[in-house]
Amino acid sequence: MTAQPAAQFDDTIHQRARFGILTILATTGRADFMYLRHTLELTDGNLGRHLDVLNEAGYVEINKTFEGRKPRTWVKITKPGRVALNKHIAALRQMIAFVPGG
Amino acid sequence: MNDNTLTELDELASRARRDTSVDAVVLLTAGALAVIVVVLNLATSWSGGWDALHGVGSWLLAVLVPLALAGMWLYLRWRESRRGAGRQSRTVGWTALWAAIILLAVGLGPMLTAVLGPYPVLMGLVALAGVRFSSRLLLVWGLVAAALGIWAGMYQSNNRFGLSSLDTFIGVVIALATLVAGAVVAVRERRR
Repeated sequence: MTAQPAAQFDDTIHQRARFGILTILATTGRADFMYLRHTLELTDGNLGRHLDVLNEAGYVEINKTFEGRKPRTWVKITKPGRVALNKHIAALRQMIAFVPGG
Repeated sequence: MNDNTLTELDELASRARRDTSVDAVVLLTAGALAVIVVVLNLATSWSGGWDALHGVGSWLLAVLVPLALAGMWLYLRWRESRRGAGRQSRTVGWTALWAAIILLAVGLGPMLTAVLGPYPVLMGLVALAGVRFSSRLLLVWGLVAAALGIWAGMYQSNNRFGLSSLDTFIGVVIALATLVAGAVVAVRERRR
């Protein structure tokens, strides 16, 4: 019997904005808050909340720095984050193939 | 989540890849280095005729490559800071260090370039960048140009053949074509 693909979904990643954040970080390695906000078209508060969720799950690392007097927040994907993202994408592709007409 | 989500994520990944692409930087750097080396080689070639593959330029490659990589590292660091995305400068920085150790301390650069010309080193690094940054363009360019350069170098070093203008022509063409390819990719990246 084949396991239900949806059972392999990662609830932390299975949210549009968080999925987008991890996809960008997996491609670039790291990005700053402004880049993520601009690319994903999210508000500051919204993006901040999603980053907190990913940070608590250990999928991203947040590093706050200062450039001169200006604060800058860099976000980096972690190894567990990359593994979880790849697993989630695989499960999603499996799900699409599983559903008739998918 | 459905197929549209995957398409949307593909678009996000493509955009992020475009913003952090190193194809133009690598090709322009390799092309500029190759042109400098070829010009130095032609200027110092021995009395037998023009030689784009052997000469002072090839011997200087051990110094020029780490210097060019250090320049690239500084540029990428600046670009990452300006755009707010990317981490490629770290990889380039480490490669600069290793290239300096291997080419200068171990002396692999002069050993490789003495017979085969500068292209095994230069285009080997372009191919390596292709593997490291998942760029098919850099990988194919590096392998094809290195193979052509090595072939021309071996042909030239074979005692049964004299120094032919074809070898020199191939050496010059690889250098110019790499520089032009870098410029074309840079223009295309700006237009997107």
